[in-house]
Amino acid sequence: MDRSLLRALYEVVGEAGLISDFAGCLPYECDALAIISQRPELVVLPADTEEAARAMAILHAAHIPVVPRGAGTGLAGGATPRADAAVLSVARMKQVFEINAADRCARLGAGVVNAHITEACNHHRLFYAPDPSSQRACTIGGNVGTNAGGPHGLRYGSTTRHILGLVVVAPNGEIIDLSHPQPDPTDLDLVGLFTGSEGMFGVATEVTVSLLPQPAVTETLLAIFSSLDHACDTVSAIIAAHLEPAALEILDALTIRAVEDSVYAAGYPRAAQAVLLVEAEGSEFEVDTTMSAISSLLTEHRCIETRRARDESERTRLWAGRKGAFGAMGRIAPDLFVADVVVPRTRLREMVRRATDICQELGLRMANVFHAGDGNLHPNICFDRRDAEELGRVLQAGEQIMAACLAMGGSLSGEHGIGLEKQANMANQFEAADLSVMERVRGALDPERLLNPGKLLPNRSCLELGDGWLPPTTTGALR
Amino acid sequence: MTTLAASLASLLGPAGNGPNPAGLALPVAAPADEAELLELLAFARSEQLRVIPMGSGTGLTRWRAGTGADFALSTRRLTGVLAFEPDDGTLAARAGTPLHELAELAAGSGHHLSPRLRHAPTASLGGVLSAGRAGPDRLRLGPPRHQLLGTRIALSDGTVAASGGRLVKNVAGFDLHRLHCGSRGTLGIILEACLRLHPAPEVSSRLATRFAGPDQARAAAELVRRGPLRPWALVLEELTGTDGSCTLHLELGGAEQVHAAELAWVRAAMAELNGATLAPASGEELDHWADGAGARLTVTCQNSRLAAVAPLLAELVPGPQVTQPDLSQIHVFGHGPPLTEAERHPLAQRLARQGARITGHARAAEPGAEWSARIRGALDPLSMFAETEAGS
Ligand SMILES: Cc1cc2nc3c(=O)[nH]c(=O)nc-3n(C[C@H](O)[C@H](O)[C@H](O)COP(=O)(O)OP(=O)(O)OC[C@H]3O[C@@H](n4cnc5c(N)ncnc54)[C@H](O)[C@@H]3O)c2cc1C
Repeated sequence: MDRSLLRALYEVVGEAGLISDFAGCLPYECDALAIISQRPELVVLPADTEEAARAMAILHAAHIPVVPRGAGTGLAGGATPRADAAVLSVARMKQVFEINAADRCARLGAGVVNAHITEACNHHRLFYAPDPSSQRACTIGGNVGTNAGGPHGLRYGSTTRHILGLVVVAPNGEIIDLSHPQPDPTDLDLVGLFTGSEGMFGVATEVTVSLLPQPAVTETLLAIFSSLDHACDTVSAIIAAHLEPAALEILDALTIRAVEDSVYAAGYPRAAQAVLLVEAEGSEFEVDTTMSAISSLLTEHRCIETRRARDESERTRLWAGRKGAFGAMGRIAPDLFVADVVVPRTRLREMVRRATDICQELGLRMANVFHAGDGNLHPNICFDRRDAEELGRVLQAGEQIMAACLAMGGSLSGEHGIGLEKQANMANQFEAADLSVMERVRGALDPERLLNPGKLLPNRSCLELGDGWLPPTTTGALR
Repeated sequence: MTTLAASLASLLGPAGNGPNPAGLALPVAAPADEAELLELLAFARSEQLRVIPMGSGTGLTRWRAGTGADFALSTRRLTGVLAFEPDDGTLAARAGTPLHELAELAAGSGHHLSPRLRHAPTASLGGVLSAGRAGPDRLRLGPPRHQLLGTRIALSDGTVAASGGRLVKNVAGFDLHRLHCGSRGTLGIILEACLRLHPAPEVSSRLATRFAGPDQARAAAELVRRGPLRPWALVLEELTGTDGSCTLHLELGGAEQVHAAELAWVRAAMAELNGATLAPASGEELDHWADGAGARLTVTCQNSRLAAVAPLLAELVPGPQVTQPDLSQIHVFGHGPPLTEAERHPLAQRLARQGARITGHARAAEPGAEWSARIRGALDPLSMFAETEAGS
């Protein structure tokens, strides 16, 4: 790395904000999709918007690509660096600028950890709704980058519904303030466009989120099934009956056992083939009505037992099992490939079966833990990355699961994003024209394609676009 | 018939040269299908014509056509449902399909389609989305951009492109459909759109109660806002009271038991507040006030600013006000036409000091204006799509 560049950056971010040594850069070589990695030569950690803007301007002048990064918990390789790029991490931007209880919103630094938002406004009896299972680690900036979902997205929607404003540093270092005190954008919905753009338009440095009043009543129920099919059918029936619980999460037998063997043990019955975690929130009358209608459907769909959380500690325990499920899988195999696909909610059972068959045919162990109420599946494939042949089969299974899901009218991703992992598959979900228009918008906001290049949009179709497309120089090495 | 109108007629046949519902002084071309629409865009390119995209034209009574447009392109003949999945809660249709038809279809399976626009019976799906027009149900369900799951768009260069899809959860690709929602046709023409459906209330009630003045009504609205209800609409209306009184309109709905409990709660709360009783009211009226049609001016600000902005506004533009708390919106009614751009300008500055803005006013200084301009340049490099200007 050019010394004068390092010096210029050092002057902006100081020692705490600059990493350029081998060991220091190593933790930034991948996100939670650890099978693709590339150590960066430079990591910049600005403390605020001003520093980020000045650092970006320096990197822009030197034509150095920038990979925005939050906590690196992404599961699609979105924050995985390229050899020639600098990582720009918002992890130090942890300021809570304002909690506005009257208007139910909060202005935060992009590095604030998701779970800390609710902690910061708890005393106003408000909460921040999107709750990815990684919420104790992931940042609000990263959540904006991926348009993160979570178990309670069923009732409250994904991140995009909750972002009121952003301050963004553009690729050239310009500060674009997209925050406004009114409920609607006054012109184009740039905040909506930016959310879920996987760091390809700029770096969000400040985020204004909406806060919701805490529900008066929350009721959590564990429904136990002797068949995964029955659990899936129950969820389809609950949706078809127009019921609106806050969350509907399924865990299958392998996941249940992994959870019960781990520190996240939640008291799920080990003999069950599936459990469905049902939560309803709202006023007492709303929760009672929803839960009694769901109880009838559970009986109708051969649920063998239900357990109602009697207090907050039981509720926390039931959720700890769900939220810790990915971590618990570590007991089964050293690595976990977390697929993330969506199908219409009428086809849950069919898709879960298909994914199971695919993994069986390829001799792989797969566990299901997923946001069933949204049709968002996470077939988790257990493997050991040191076994190259097995890794090959895992990737093959991932491809087949995506293809099956698209054939059912589904989507490649419900919440983790496209990143590096699913980039090539985009051409299977979208037409070339769709992708070319996405590329046009990207080119409008980042004409030199310096922000997170080589992500999300597939290379092949981009090359076909000709005009102005700069192919990525590397796409990370498969380890 | 002008030469242009004649050319359009020869391209589309007599049916394509439809009546002009918005009273525009422009020829209106209504292609019968997507192929004709693309032909029309090709014609506009070859003749370097500027086009105003429109749905059925309902919305254009609110937006004055910008200068320099040669003809309006209406999608009102591109109709039909493309996919209706009641058990998944999604509905996709062509842009010209009247919204009320889609709402009726959804209602048949116990669903509610948002936005609810009772006062725009001819409004089309594409037109409503382009205008970003919300209904009173926004209070409960959010703005139209949150209902939109995906679109197919025709750009001025003839490219037809989709984004999003027909799924309630989906993050694949950039959310370009969010850009089109509220863009007033300046980026391209919406051909198809898919919306998320919501469970319709089993029963619902519209209620109204009168208070001595806006302060008391505002206090009541705040009580409702902080209470355990999920109202479908909430409006404060000053017009009824020549004596300065103010009426609070409220719409509740849900499953039978939920509804009964909500009604009991709100009745008790209002009685406790100042002995107010809630009387059944007409939904028509509520929707009418929430819609703000005929308002001279509409202002938005944060909820906490409403109490400060309302009196300032009353001083600047005297006239009865209709307020939608939580949506942070005030419509000013009264005698006289909607204010002109020149009349709005000094008001906008005074209001801005209170954190309020006039809707549709002065875009140039908006945050992100340059990004918006660049996106417009990328999607409509020929500047074919003429901008429309805010009316009221
Ligand atoms: C155990 C586990 C459970 C998970 N559960 C869920 C879940 O329930 N729901 C869910 O949605 N995801 C889940 N994830 C995935 C991940 O946590 C989310 O994608 C999260 O939003 C990433 O946040 P991050 O701060 O780690 O961002 P990163 O991983 O660092 O970055 C994610 C993407 O956003 C971009 N980005 C980061 N910061 C910014 C910024 N400030 N401005 C612009 N772009 C930026 C990056 O370039 C990258 O493309 C889970 C991951 C793990 C490991």
